[in-house]
Amino acid sequence: MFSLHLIIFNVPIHVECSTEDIADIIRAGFSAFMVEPATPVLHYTLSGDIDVGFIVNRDGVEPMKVDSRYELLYVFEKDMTVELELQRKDLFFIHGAAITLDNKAIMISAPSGSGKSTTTWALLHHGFDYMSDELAPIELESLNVLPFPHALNQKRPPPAPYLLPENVMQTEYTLHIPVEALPCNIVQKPTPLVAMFYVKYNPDAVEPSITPLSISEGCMYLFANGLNQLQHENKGLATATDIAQRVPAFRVETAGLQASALMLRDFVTNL
Amino acid sequence: MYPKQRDGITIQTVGDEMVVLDQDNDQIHQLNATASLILSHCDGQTSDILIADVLVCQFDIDHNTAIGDVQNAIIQLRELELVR
Repeated sequence: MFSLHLIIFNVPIHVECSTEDIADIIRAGFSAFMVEPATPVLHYTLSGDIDVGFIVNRDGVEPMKVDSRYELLYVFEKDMTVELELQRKDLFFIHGAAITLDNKAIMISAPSGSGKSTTTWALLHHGFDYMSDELAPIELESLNVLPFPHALNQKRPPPAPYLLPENVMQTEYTLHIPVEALPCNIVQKPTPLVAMFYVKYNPDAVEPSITPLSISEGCMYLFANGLNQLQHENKGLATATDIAQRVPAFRVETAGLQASALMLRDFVTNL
Repeated sequence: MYPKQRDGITIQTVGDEMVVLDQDNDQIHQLNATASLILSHCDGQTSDILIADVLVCQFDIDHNTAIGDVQNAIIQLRELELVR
């Protein structure tokens, strides 16, 4: 067994991998969370191979069988994320990327396939530092975002000039850029959230644009992109409203990756 | 039957607007100020005409316009299954 210890949002996790191949997948995805052994709150065993399939086993629940390396990583991360949400009910988890500029965190959120991670990857080439591309937990009192710097995922190779580095970990459907290969610093401390951006790619748009959202729109978008809303006050609506009242939100229509990234960089610089 | 908010929806007031969560239909709605005011009076005991009176007092519109607005809004709120 290859024994890996992670700590995420102060929750110790022990992952035992039956093969080096599986351990390499987890290392590539979660290298920023590796720590010395500690008494785990969550314990996983990952086993199998590409020929017979993989098994994700968390103590106390039915093992989950998957057929590919992509599914192995997906199921492991999804299960772990849900468990982390249960462990940290004090946080409002949002499906979104978090990056920083000058110690200001912004969140980029969008439905899957709308360009969130691609936009994030581009922005990392323009002075932003990396916190997460999938999960942005918010501390409700401070409105700090907690870092979740796992490998940055891409569904397809991004366009020039934002080409992928060589040491990308590839699964059947996804490309995972290890944090060591990112062209920026990795933020490991909670950082104040100053703005939220909801991104949509418009292939017909001539140029990118940013439009402010009202507080109620911000509340609705925030709720729609939340992951553990129902654990919070008034089924999450009161909490989403509180955040929306304190953090401005914007709708971003992207058009051309480089132009969109530069527009966002200039906008955030002036916040 | 006078319009009444459907049981099971969750409402959050944000300024003069509302955000409405409908878990049964897996939907979330943002209502503008007029629709929010109308929905807030859909208590099963208030007629379209009385709700229109509220709109006349709140906004600078005549009564006929207000009745039309209320009836249209209630049709849409029923389509969204927020009102029965």
